[in-house]
Amino acid sequence: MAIRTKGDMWALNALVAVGLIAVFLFGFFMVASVVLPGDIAEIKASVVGSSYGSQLLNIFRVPVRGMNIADIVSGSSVSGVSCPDVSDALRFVYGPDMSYSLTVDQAVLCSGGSLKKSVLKSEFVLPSYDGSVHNVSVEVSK
Amino acid sequence: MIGFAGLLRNKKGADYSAFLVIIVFISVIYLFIQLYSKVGVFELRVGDQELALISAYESGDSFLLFVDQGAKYSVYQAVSDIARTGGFVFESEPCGSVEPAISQRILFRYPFWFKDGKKCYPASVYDSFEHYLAKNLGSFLEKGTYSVSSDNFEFTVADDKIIGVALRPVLVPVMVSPEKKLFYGEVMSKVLREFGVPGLGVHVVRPSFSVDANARISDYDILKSQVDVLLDCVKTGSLDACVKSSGSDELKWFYQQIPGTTSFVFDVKQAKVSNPFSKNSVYIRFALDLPGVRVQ
Repeated sequence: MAIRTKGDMWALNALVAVGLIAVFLFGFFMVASVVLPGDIAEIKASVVGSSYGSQLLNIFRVPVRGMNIADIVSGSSVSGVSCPDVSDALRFVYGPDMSYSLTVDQAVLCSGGSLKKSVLKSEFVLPSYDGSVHNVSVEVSK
Repeated sequence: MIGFAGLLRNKKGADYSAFLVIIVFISVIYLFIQLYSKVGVFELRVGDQELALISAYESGDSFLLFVDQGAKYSVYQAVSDIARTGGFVFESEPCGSVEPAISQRILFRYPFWFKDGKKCYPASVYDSFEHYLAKNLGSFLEKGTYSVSSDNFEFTVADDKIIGVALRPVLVPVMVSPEKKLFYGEVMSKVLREFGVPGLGVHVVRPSFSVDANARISDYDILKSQVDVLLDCVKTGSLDACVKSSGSDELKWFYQQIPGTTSFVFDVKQAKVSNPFSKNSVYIRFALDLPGVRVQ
């Protein structure tokens, strides 16, 4: 559309002004989201992660052949609970395409798939039948 | 009609737009500075309190799982312990015990259930069981995340279920900020332990447990009556024949004489007791002093 009158010129100027203002506001929110606190995404991820982490803990109560998943730290030769039982329980809750890693005293006991960046993680302490106590960490990602 | 170049030369519209943009730019900068200056005012970030609550809940939940698992192992271990000591608490046997060398290396301890014509049966096997259960559970609890002693539990022992009711709760502090965590860690947890008063900022967990396990403590009463029958039987018959007649499907008897003595040690297998973690069978051990008894 050709600019023929003063009105057209005003309209064009207004359009440019609105565009610039939009760019400023966009920049403001971008900078604010990085610099200012209230990083909601991060906190939401922490809260949701922690909440799901609690669910992760409850998987260790799942019964397996008269025992439960937590008995895996006593050793599969003692308890009869093995990595496929852990994997099955996790797949039942998180779906077949999940990846996981179960670590006992910093040594990987069971794992499946490749863990991605966004993981659910739960760390806790469990006893074993021989009287010892182990630091357990389980991570799951989809 | 004004040409396009002419319109651009007209400053009125351009001035207004530039003025508007500059005002907005300044406003945005001012707004940012104002917001940024408020950052230090807030001690907590949005969601920190909620996160602390969830973390405290998770911490309490993981401790409950720890206690449940520890209690389960303690129960099975206590069943074996009590059988090994013939239903007595270790070294509390009224008629003493005997330790025959069964093999070159292994010494087993057999408490006397009959000696010098006197019956010395364990009076309260349930109490002995609770003693071992508390002892085993205590060894787990002292390695746990929170401080709980085994005398914090009141046990109820049935044949197929063992229940431990926690008398006092465990107090899990809700740690919102690192400063508070330090404060709670150093000072508040001691105060909580001393006074045990639940209050604000504390998640209360009661670590009671219930273990489905076939402890069959009643086997000891059956065994005592079988020993009574055996003691009557050996007055007239041979020990071998009497033992064969004393056994049952639940309790299978094995015995041997300690060489050079009139004492016999017995291993009675609890056929219906099984420990899923230790594939070994459970044998109740005791000894009988039977002078003048015919073996075969």
